[in-house]
Amino acid sequence: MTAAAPLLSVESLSVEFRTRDGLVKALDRVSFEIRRGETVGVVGESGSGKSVTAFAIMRILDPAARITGGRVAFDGVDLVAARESELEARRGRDLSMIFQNPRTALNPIRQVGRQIGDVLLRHGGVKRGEVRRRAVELLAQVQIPDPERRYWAYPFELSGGMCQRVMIALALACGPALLVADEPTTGLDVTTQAAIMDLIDDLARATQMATLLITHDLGLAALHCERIVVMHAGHVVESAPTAELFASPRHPYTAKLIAATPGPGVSLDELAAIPGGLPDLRGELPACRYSRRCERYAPFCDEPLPLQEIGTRHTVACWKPL
Amino acid sequence: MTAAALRHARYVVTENPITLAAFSMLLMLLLVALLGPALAPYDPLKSDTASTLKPPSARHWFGTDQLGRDMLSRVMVATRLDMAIAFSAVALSFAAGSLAGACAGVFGGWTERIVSRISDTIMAFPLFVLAMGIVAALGNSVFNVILATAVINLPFYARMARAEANVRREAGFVEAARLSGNGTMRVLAVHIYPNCLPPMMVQASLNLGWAMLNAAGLAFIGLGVRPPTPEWGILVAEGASFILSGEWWIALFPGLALMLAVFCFNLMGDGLRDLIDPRRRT
Amino acid sequence: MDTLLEVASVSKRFPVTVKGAPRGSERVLQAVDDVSFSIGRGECVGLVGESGCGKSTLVKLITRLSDTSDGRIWFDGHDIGTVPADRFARMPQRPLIQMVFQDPGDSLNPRFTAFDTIADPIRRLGRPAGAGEMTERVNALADMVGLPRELLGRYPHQLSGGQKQRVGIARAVALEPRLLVLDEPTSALDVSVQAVILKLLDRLRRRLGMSYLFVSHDLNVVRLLADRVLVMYLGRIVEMGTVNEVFERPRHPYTRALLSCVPEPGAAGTGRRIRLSGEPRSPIDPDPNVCRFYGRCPDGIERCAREMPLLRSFGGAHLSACHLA
Repeated sequence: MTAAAPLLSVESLSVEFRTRDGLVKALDRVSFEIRRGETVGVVGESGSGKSVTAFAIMRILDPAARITGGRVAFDGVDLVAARESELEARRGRDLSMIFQNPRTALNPIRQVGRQIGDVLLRHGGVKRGEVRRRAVELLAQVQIPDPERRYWAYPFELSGGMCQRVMIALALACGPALLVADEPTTGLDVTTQAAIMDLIDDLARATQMATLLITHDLGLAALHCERIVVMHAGHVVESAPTAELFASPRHPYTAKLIAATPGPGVSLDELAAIPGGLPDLRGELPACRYSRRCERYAPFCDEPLPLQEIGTRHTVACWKPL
Repeated sequence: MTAAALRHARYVVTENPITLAAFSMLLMLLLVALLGPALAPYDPLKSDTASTLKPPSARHWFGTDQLGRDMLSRVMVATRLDMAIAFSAVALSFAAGSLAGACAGVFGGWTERIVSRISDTIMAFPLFVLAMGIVAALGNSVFNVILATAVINLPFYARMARAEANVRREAGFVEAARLSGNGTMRVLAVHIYPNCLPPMMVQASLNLGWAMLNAAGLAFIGLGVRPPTPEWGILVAEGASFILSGEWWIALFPGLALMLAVFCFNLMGDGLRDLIDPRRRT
Repeated sequence: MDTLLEVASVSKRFPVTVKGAPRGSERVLQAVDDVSFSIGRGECVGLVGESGCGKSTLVKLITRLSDTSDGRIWFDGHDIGTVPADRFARMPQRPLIQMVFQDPGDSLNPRFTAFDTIADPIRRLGRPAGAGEMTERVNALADMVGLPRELLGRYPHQLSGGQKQRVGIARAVALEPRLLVLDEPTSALDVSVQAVILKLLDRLRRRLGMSYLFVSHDLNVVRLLADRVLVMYLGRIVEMGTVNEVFERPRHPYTRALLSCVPEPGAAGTGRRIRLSGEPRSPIDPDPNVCRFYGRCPDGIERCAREMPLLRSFGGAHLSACHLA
């Protein structure tokens, strides 16, 4: 398969946070890419840096954060080097994001239809008179019943699942090429979760939109993503096509993560625990941030760590892959 | 206090230069309040008819008033009274208001109705006018000034405490406390009430400034503290009549002192909350 | 099997005031509707259902944090449902029914150290003890849940999620309860920590001979620990049976839909997912003759709209409330 130029290419991205207790090295040389129309999952536990990555790509990091290296090439433009005005023009139009808690991500004192209208006016090139009709259309597209009436609803009047649908409508209003979804279904019921993820899949397929799905739920990523990137403590430890990742994980952490996730065939005794905890990202860190928890640790693991390519689009960051 | 707490205190104070400035000023004010009479160069009540209405000079830094009394001494000694009134009023208000509010928030029903109605009644009045009314009715004394100031500030604490208690009532740890065998009163006293306090500390700090202005204001119009007791409000009142004739220093310095104190209390608000709320300690 | 907890036809209703409506026209939110089940000694019963199904309310009723509107609750042969919730703290059964909460951050008093949190139930309801003995007991509990002793002096905000949850568990087992209700004990934790906590809970159950009511929305987790499982929907139990029966041969369409929506790691392909349309019915003033699932159910027939299906047996203890099962 010819390697088409990827839509999004994160190259060696490093991010630091200034806090009262020191410098937190949240991301260290994170690299991965997404092609047009592809769904990629970024999976990791809390503290792995997956949300930071999403925010860094959208350039909406906290003011205490600094991108200390690397670039984020989106459609040929380096988002790290771009000016704020350029970023503002692109956000919402070319790349957009949906967040974890839908109710707090929407403006609580503005009707949902109007919020969609705002995006349409700013980026969609839609004339004022057309905005309401188009917004109602979008609400219908995300399967909100009675969209005419719901246009005037406030977020607090809608359920969590409906708010999430509104957020999807907002994000997709201008047909972006990339959707970044940060834990979009955490906190939702499993049936609602399935419906929301199906909706995202359907819409993405219809418009050839690429999706970056950030989640801690390995099972969810397995269901909806073509490729998965596994993160640990600010590092990308492995990335591979989904089937290959589960069939033959090459990084010890990936294997442990899979073994720790409950599923139908696994009994309680077989469920793996991952010893140790995340390293303190403020202090001195070893080259491989998983090394201190790894049972395969050897002295050469302290050498600076490359990301090795070990198969078609299968990379792993380990001196002793499985 | 543990080493960690002291370290945190030092961190909070030094992190923000404004907090540091506010705390230093407060320390200075407290020092003057405690040691006032000892530090004052002259007896604040002693008149010296030979040197009346003298402008600020090397001998009298703040000048003298119409009876020849040294203004610096008067201002310094007045610190004690003003600080005492402010702290007492706020303490009283805080204690009564937070308890009433917490009970209202936890019990609901009639308790809440009564507390709310009383709060509403108090707030229906222009607060300073209400304070005036209370002092006028009960008589001119320091205690009545404290009482009046405390009463008009009650609703703010009651309301805040009620909101905080309401939120905490449903919290997991409150249910856990009930499962552990804590009766309703214990849950309120040991689990809910102490957790309502940190957010109210900021309010208390802002209130200190308000209370002080209140007391000074009452004294300014002749209620509460009466001359010759040195009190900033009285000093400003006495000095006001001399401004037009050119003796600006009599009113200015007590006014500045008042302003400094209120300013310092307001700045302290955040710093105080950082210190007390264990969640902020890292 | 020896029955520890017996819940019979328990209901809980909340009055709902509608803005602008005249007095007396209050409507009723049926949070829990005619629920009956039992838990045996040493048994682990799972309770699954989605938000709004009433499991949180049911949990509050069983732990006696709130009062039932109807129905009886028997614990170890004693009727505990009739004592009002605010007086229950003084009953002898109080220490025997305890709970582990979902959100470790919310379930610990921010002003109490870990030590104080664990010691609180002992101080309130346990045998009186001097300071030395109390320290010993708390230390023993910390060891039992795998919490390093040096963390006992810390405040909740200084502890990780897993550590906080261990404190919560230590507090819950401090009085050696017979029934422990676990309300989503691992949903707020990372997957790596979850495994540890689940194994700990399993070990503790066997060691202390407790029964569990394990509430969770995550069916994969329930499958690991539970012997039997109850499925709730909009206040009613729609299916119950052993874990194998319910998960392998579900007899209620809602259970089937729920199972089909659970993502499974390692399953790169998608199973046929049953998509539920629409939103759940309103729990306010529900029609007592219409099946609660009717409308969203892929299998609804006309009978479902005029007769409420009751729990029927399908051999042994596998029950389902569906006309078509």
